[in-house]
Amino acid sequence: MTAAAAPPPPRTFTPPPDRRAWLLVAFGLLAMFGPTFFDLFTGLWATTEQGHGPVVFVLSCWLIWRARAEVFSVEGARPRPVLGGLILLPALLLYVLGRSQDFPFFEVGALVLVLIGLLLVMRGPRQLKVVWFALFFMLFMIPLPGIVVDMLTQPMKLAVSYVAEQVLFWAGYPIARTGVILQIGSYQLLVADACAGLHTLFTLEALGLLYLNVVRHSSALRNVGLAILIVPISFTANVIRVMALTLITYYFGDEAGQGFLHGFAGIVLFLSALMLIIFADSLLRFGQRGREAQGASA
Amino acid sequence: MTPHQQERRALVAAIAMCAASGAAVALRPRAVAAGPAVQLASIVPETFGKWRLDKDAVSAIISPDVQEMLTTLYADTLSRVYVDDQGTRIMLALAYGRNQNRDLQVHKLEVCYVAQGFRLVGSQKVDLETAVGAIPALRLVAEQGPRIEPITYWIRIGDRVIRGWLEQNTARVALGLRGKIPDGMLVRVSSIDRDRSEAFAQQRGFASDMLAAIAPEHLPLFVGAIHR
Repeated sequence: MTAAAAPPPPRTFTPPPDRRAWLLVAFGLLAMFGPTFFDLFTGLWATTEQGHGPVVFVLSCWLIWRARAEVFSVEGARPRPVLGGLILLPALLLYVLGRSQDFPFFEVGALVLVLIGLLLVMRGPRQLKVVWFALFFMLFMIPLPGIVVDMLTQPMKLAVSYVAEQVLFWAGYPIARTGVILQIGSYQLLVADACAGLHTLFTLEALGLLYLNVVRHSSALRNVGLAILIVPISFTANVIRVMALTLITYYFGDEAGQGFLHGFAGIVLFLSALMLIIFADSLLRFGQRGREAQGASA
Repeated sequence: MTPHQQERRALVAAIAMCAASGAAVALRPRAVAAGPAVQLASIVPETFGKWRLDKDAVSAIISPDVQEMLTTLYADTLSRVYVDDQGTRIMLALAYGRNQNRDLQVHKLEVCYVAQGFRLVGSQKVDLETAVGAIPALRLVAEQGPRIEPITYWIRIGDRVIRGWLEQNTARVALGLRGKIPDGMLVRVSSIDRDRSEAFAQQRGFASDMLAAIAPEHLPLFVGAIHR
């Protein structure tokens, strides 16, 4: 396909000729997912483990809104009603099962499938491609099933406690560990679920992917490299937070560790993660430039 | 593609979506299990078989935040130590949860023990032969330094004794689609003993004696419908 064959996408948003049809679709979406999001905002998303949900939700909406001119454009629309319907039907059944039997994983996951089905029915593959990243991004707001959270949280907590203990012991502090309980001096600290870093990992990974998508790096190495590096970065940041909290408790007592300094440790977490990401990104850029220079001299 | 055609498709989609929304509301389970009218402490006798309550045993001191979690998760809990004439001690822990929806599901022992620094060795599925029938239970050994604690436990959800996440959730959905919110019970029997096979044999005998001594009307609370 040459560039001339595809008409340039419209830059400004004009209400589409079939806006009454879209109003119907919007009404259906509201009937299904209005209650879902009400429950999420008042329930799961208010917890620490799934606290990144609202951020991802708002950002996904923004990503779609940003592309609204292209999505709603009838230019080059090739509706695929049969394919769309074949995706929509199982999505609706998944929603019914998820919502009635209390499986938020299915209930929210159905939203992504419903949106794909609706876009295919109303517009076509081309408009779907415009918002693929927004839909992919939405996967991050699907609440993980309890079993997955448990399975990931436990080993992560143990690993974070283990590394924090080793580093502080090496630095000469009187520290001991049983499972996820750290003993420093006369204080005993329980490494909570929130410290496992599942929430940190998801938030950082989501925000990192968003950053990469918005700035649109052309280099695949830098994109994929950074996305993968976020996993150890998030782990390191959590170890730093646990060590910071342990030291705060050691020097200033239990009250300081549980009080306002606890929030301070959260800020330390995100600052250290941010610095590590910028550092990793610079390294990747440096490595890439080196390769390019090598290619030029050869 | 005419606007008219689009509207027809959109209308079909919107009707299907509203139907899904309505179906989800209609299929939501509402009936919460009535639960036992009496406390677990009065359901489980203080003496049965060769076992009697060990009143001298100091039950573990529970930290306030753990106690708070227990009260939100479970409607009733019981923790006791029994002893026989030879001095064999068996620890019994029961936890009853009225509403086994997602947030309040009975917690797996495997997670709690590891968090407290125990090392779990070998989880094994067994069919526990008891006076009231075979119970699909789990056996594992928790180790912490010199302390070796073999454990036998089972979880009942609704009228089934389940093992694992998949069985737990199928039991929940099977009842849920019939409009019922299941209740649940965790039964844990353990002892501190280096001789595992001896400990497991004692625990089986203990569980069997206990179930035989429980009034028939309360038995489903412990084993669901398996004895019928």
